[in-house]
Amino acid sequence: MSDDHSNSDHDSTAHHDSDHHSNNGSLRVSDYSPGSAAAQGLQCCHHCGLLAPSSQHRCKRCHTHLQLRKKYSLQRTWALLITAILLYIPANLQPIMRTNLLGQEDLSTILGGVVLLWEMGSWPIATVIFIASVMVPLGKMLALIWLCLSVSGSHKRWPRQRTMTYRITELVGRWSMVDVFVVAILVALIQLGQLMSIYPGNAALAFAGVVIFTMLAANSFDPRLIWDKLPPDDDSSHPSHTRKAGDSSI
Amino acid sequence: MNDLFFITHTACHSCDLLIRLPQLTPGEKALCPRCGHMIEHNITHGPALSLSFAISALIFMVLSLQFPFLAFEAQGQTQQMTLLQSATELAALNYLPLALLLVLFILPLPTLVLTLLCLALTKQMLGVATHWQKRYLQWLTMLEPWCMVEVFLIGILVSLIKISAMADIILGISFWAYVFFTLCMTASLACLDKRQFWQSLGDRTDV
Ligand SMILES: [Zn+2]
Ligand SMILES: [Zn+2]
Repeated sequence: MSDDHSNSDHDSTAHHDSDHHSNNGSLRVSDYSPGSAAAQGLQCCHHCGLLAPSSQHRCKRCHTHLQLRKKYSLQRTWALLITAILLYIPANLQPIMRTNLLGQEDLSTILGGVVLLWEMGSWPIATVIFIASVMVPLGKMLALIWLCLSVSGSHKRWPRQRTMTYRITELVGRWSMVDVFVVAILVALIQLGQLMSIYPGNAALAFAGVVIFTMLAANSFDPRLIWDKLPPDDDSSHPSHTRKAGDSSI
Repeated sequence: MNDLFFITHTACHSCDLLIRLPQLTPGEKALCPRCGHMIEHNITHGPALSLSFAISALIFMVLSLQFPFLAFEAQGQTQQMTLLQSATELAALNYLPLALLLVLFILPLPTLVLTLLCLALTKQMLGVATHWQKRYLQWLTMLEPWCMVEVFLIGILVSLIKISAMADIILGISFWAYVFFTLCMTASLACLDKRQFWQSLGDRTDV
């Protein structure tokens, strides 16, 4: 445990007893990384954070149904992710907005809109839209694919970086909705009949679907899976008091 | 393992490392030593700040529904819009799913989250821990990621810049109320540390 400023790498003082760790009786130690709660027969309520034995079904404090890991995490993440990827195709090929200017109809796709803004010289908004509507959803889907593949292939490298990737994926997800909101606002605001009217295109809803499904996919992924397959010697930065407490009580 | 062990320890939500919870002084954060995930943040006067921001946010939200939101003037024609009209206009043009998504993410869900927050915090500050309070907090955690008030605000700014070339834009009172609503809501959620909240609901794990 470290506070705001301190780095965690200095507190691996109890390293010498790590080999005692894997023979703690009847627990399914080998499935989980050493130092993890699961390896010591414990689980944590995902709502209130209260610790409980792995055998317990409901949290004593908030009565949430307890699970050692999210159920069918990878299958659900893949299913939602594939849905998002499929929706991403019409979201980019179909027009997101139809502009009716003096009787002339003009269709614009997401990328077309970015290019147009760039050419008009308003490159700050072009950048915002490009990041929010192109880079973020694409990056999110690629990140989730990487995470899922690395977990099912039990990769052992960069666990911390992969966890960080997951956290960022979770945080930025909502921001891709910007473009959908822009279309909605423009449609609501600009209804001047023949003079100028704006209507949403098919891509607007498809894109909203991409955002929602990637958010759900990120939600169903369990980052603890990244750490479960790690070998005992890989990471040993747990604080000494954690180890003592775990050992003395089992 | 005794009861004290279960109260003083927790597992990281990101990597499942078993951790002993430290005693934090106000303003201090506890980070997971293995993956860097934030475990707990002792915010000075966190609950009081969170509650006051939540109440202000609710007031600003009510205000933002009362007045004109944006007006748009082009070649002698003016069009005015309230916040709700952004959705009803879409619905009137037969884009009902889009209208529902829009209105859901920016009005009912945030209102629900703020109300749950107010209810839970008021009861906590009055010192009554009820079964319902825990429900409120669970719902709050589930709904929080789906509130997109700040994303909508960025959306407004982007669309304003997009059309500023061809028309004059007049920002209404509601627009400013909405800006303050967004700021207060973000601040309110940022001031709430859920682990501390749960702990304040009692180490009596049997409630
Ligand atoms: Zn719980
Ligand atoms: Zn961790």
